[in-house]
Amino acid sequence: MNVLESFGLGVSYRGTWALRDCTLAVPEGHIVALVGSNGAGKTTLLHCAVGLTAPTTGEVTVLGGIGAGSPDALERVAFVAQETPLYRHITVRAMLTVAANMNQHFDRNLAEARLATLDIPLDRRIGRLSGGQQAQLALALALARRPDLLVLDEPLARLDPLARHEVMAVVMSAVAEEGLSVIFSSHVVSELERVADYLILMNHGRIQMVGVIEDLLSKHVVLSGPTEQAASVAELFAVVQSQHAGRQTQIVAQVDASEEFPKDWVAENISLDELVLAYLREPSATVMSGPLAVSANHAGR
Amino acid sequence: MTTTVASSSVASRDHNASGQRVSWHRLMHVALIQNRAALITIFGAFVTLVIAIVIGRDAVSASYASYLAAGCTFAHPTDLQVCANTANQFADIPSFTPIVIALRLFPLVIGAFIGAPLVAREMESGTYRFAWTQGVGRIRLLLVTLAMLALIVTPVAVVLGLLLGGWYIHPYAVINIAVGSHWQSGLFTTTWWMTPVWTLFALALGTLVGALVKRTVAAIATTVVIIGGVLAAVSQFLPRILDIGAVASSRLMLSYFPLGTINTVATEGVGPSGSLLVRGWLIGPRGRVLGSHAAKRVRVHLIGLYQSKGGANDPGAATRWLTLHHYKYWFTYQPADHFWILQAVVGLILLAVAAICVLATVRIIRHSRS
Repeated sequence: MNVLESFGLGVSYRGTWALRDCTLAVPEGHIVALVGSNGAGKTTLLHCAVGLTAPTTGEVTVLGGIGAGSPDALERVAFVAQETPLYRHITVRAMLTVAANMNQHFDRNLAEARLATLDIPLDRRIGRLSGGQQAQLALALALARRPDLLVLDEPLARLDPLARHEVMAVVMSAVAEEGLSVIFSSHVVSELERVADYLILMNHGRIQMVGVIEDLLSKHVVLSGPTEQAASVAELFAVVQSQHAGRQTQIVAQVDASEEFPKDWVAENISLDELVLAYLREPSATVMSGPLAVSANHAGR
Repeated sequence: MTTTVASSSVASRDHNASGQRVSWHRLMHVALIQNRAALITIFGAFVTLVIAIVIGRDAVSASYASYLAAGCTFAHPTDLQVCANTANQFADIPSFTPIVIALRLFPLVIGAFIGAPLVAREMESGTYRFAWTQGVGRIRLLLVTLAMLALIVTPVAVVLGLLLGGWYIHPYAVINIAVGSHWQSGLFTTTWWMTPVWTLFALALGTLVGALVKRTVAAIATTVVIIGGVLAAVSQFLPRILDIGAVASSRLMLSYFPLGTINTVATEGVGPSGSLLVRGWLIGPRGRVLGSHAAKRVRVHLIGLYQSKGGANDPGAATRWLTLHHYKYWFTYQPADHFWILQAVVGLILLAVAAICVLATVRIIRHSRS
C-alpha cells in the first residue's frame, strides 16, 4: 500500500504555481523526509495530503487510494502543522478534551501518559508552554489519534537541539510501537539521516528526487580529479553537479554499482547532506529511483 | 515510469468502523470550549439588559398606573391635560430609549463579536490547520458550532424581546400617540420574534464576513458596518416596507391630511383603531396623483377649512370642499391584525438570508485553501 500518492498534482495560487506536475508514490512503513528550499512547495504538498488544500490539477490520495481530506482520510491521517497551531487560550486538559471530541478514535490515556512523561502540566494554558512543549503537545495529540499516517510540517523548525532530539525520539518510538508511516518536512538535513529512511526532495514546486535514502546514497558518488579530464568524465556518468577549484574538479554523479571510475579520479561515498545540496543547486537534475508504485487506476492515463 | 500495484498489508488501527462519526453532543462540547469567551460575553450582555429592563419596567408601570388612575383611555388620550401630562411623563422615562437601542444593537454585537471571529480567528491564528484536519471534518465542525451558538443566542434574544414587549406593550396600547408604537422601527425590530431573527441573521452574516475577510479585527469592523447599515436601512425604509400589502382607503378620517409617509398609529376617530397609517396622497380632478407642491397647497386649504373660524373642528367642511372640487384624499394603513403577519414575513426573509449566508460560508470553507 502506498501511504501517499499523487498524480499530476498541481496547486496554483492566483496564477503562480506552488506545486506543479507532482507524481509520486510513497510506500507504507517508512519515515519519509520531505526536503527542499524555502518556497519549494513542501507545505503545499503536505496540505494537499491532509486535505487542507484542494489541488488545482491532478489528484492526491492517501493510505491506498483514499481521497485526501475525505472523512475516512481525516480519521486515519494525523497532521501537525508548522508552528503547531493550538488554541493558546485554553489549558492542556481542555485541548485534550477538544481533540478527544473531534475524533472518533482518540486515546486520551495515551496522550496523558506521554504528556506526563514530558512533565507537561495539564492545567497550564497552552500559550504559557514553551515552544518545545507546544510541539510535544501537538505531537501527543496527533499520536493519540492512533493514525496510520502521521504528517509533520517542519516539526523541528522552532526547537532547540535538545527539544528536536526529544520530538524525534517520540516520533521514532511511536513508529516502533505502532508501525505507522511518517512524512515530515524539514530544513535540518543533518538530523534527517538519523531518523528518515525515505527522501522526497522538492525544488521550485516540483519533485526532484524520490527514493529510499540508502538506495539514493548508493547510486551517487563524489568524484574528484583533474579539471582537464572533467569534460570526458562527465560523458561517462550522469553528472548531477560539478564544482571546479583550480586544477581539481569535484563531480556529484549518478553511478551503477558495477561501474569503474577513471584513472586519476577518486570516488567517495556521498553524504545525504551533500546529495541534497547537489540536487538543490541543480534544479534540472532528477532522480525517481524510489518505488514509484502508482496505483493501477493511474497506469492507463 | 514504473507502474506497480502494491497490496495493502497494514490494517488500519481501530478505524475499521467506517462510517461512524463523532457525535453531535461531543462536537457541542468542543464548540463550548472553543467559544467560551464569546458565550460569557453573551451571558454578560443578557444579564445587563435584563437588569436594565426590569429596573426600567418599574418606572413605566408606575407611569402607566397613574395614567389609568387619571381615567385616561385610548379613545381620547390627549383630550385631558392630565392624560397628556402623564403620557409625556411616560415618554420621558430616561431608560427607555437606551434600552431599545441596546436591544436593537444586540444582534449587531452578536454578529460582530461572535459571528465574525468564528472563522476569521481560526484563519488568522492558523488553528484551522488543527481544527480542519481532525476526524470531524471542517463542515460538520462549522455547522455544529453555528447550531450551538444559535441554540444559545435564540432563547436569550427571545427572553430579551419578551421582557421589553411585556414592559411596553400594554402602556403603548393606550398611549402610543405620545411615544410611538410597535409599528415603528425601533420596536418593530425588537419584538420577541424579531430580536432572535435579527440575532440569527447577524450571526450568520458575521460568520460569512469572517470567512471572507479572514482577519478578526477587520471582520468585526466589516460586520459592524454591514449590519449597522442594514439596521439603518431598515429603520429608514420600514415605512415603505410596511406599505406592502397595506389597505387603501379614501374614507376621510384624518384631520390633518398627511401626505407621503405618515408612519403613525391611528387612534379611534382618526383612523382604523390600532392600525398603522402608512402613506397619504391626493387625487386631482383629472384622476391623477397630485404633485407635492399642488398637494401641499390643497392640504393647507383643507386644514383651514377643517379648523373653522369659531374654533370648533368641522370635518364636513373639508369633505364637502374636496367633493365639490373633484379631489379625493387617499391613505393606506396596515390593520392592527396585520402586525404579526408582517413580522413573520420580514422575519422569514431575514432567516432566508441567514440561511444563504450559512450556505455561502460552507462553500467558502469547503473550497478554502491554506
